[in-house]
Amino acid sequence: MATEPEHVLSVRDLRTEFHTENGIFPAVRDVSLDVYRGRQVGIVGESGSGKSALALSILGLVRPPGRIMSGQVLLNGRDLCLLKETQLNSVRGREVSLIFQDPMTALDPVKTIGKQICEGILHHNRGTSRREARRRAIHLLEDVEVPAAAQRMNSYPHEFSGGMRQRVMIAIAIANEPDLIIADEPTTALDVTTQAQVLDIFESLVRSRGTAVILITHNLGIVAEFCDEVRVMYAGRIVESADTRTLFRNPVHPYTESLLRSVPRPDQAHDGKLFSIAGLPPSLARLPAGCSFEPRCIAGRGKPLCQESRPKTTSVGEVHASHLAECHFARERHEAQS
Amino acid sequence: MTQVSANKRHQTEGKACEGADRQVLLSIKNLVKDFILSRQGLGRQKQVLRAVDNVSIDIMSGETFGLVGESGCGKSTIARCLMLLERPTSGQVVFSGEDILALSTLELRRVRRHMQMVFQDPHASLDARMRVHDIVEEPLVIHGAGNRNERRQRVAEVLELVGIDPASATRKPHAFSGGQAQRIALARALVLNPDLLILDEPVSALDVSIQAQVLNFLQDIQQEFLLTYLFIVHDLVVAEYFCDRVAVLYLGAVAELADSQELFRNPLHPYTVSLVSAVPVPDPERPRRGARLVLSGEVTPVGQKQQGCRFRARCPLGGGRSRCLQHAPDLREHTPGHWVACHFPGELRTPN
Repeated sequence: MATEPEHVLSVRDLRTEFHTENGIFPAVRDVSLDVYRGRQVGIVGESGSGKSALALSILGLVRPPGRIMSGQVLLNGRDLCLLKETQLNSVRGREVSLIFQDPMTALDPVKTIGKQICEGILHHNRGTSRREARRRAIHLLEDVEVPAAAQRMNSYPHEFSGGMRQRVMIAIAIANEPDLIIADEPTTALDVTTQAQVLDIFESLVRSRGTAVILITHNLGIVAEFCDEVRVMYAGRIVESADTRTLFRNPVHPYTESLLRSVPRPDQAHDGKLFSIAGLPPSLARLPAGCSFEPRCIAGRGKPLCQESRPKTTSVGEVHASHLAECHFARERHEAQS
Repeated sequence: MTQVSANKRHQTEGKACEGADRQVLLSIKNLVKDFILSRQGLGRQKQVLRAVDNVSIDIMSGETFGLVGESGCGKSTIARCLMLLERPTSGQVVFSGEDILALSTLELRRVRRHMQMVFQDPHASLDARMRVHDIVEEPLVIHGAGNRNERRQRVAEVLELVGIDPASATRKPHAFSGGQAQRIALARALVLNPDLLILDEPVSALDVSIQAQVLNFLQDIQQEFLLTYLFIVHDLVVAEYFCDRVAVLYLGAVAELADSQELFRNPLHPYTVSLVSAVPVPDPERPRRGARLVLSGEVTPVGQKQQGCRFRARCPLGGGRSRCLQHAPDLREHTPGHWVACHFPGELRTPN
């Protein structure tokens, strides 16, 4: 068992519900997720599939009307769901940090960049002098390749471009060398060339530090380039999980397959139509009795089994739990491919 | 369906080679749009941002013409100038042989019904307080088309065409998902039976599966109604897939213009080369088309006019040669149909 990789995060049967006037929305439905040290895990899915709710749940940032109903979030073996807010504050930023999609709303507009980076350092390191914090902050800005770092310390967020702001967010996220960074659509607001710059910087920093990353994105291209493993979410569940190569080469869940086929690819034959998934995702308040993907499914639509019972998670990989899919036909589909 | 679609691609490819038998539907000539940034203070020099700098493009009847580029490159401003949502500073916009900038308001209305626009965010571009039926009917009312009964029939027809149940047209836009709302916006644009649709990032706000539905639908109605599309998009993969010809804009000017496949497979401008190499490819077995070529810096929409090539500060070729420093390169036809504004076209290749 000595070779067993080390867990950074282990989420067990996590359930988060939003109780609103219009009903109960289970945004995260009994999800389990393991992240190992130094691994980059991508979470993909359509809007409303529960990706961001899962991230917020892990960090204990779900706010009313949302509530974590059950389950565990074990970070370095400690259950974050049991911690008080003050205890969580010492975990967030130090053991786990978050990068948001929109840096303009995540950064404080009335504080200088330097002050905001120093805040994080000083909060988690009692006894560090301001001078020392400042020196480290400049160093961090240099790490994320902000030009003229020492001068830019005194700038305000609005004086930075989108790409530069997102670099500052990365600098803040890595300031205390956390074990895990959760990045929620970190480059969605950026242009492709800027996105490429930011992703390259981010990747080299987390790889050199051995930081585990959960990257939430809807861009399958970014997952293919950046992540070691992928989890596909649909209607609050992880419906397929595998390492990146396996998932792209042999997607077992019909949703994964449909998702991959609906993306136009460069160099793709230009004739013919794009594959598209019929219908819309179900409302979380009124989930079908059977498989939640059944009404849109290329394999199971109309089949009584799929309509009546919810599929169980099935292991189809050679190594136990290396490739999981939540589909009644997971085994058959897997065998048909190989 | 696949068969028909393949045929269509075939035809358009033929067109790119022959060129002569197609008519120009929309001709943009030397379009310039300046924005005045600040003129506070008496006697202070006003700062001018040239968002569109001398752009000339001919769009053929029946084709899908793509405008791509990073944010701030002027692609949306061009679209807004074409619809006269912004008054161009100078230049001509010739639609079906008429310069629309020279027309009176009344004449303009007559031309406008032949060109319609669809915006990026359907929930922002549809009036939240109007019922879907009224939204789609409004263009007919404005243009005085038909009586009430005929209009109702036409609205139902168009809603059915875009795949929205006409029975649900009494509801308001918020009752519809993003993909459905974008179809309603399309219905509003199609109801007058236009010749040209200006599509400003119509699928950027949609999830991939819905994006595919909308793109397929756009392809279908293009064949059915012989529509011409001006397609503004920042997603290069969508541009390559969907457009017949593409122009790459950089800081308000065309850097490169060619047949879509030619442009993405054989980019000649160093800016296009780096854009293409920056696109993440959804295939872990074959990561990227060659190594990524990361551009330094970001698009800086500078107010003052700088000398030489507008791309030279970020150019992977260095941009330090005297021609780059002194002369802004003109857009020249490098090979038939492939235009590029660079002194050294093709010198930088997609890295392998």
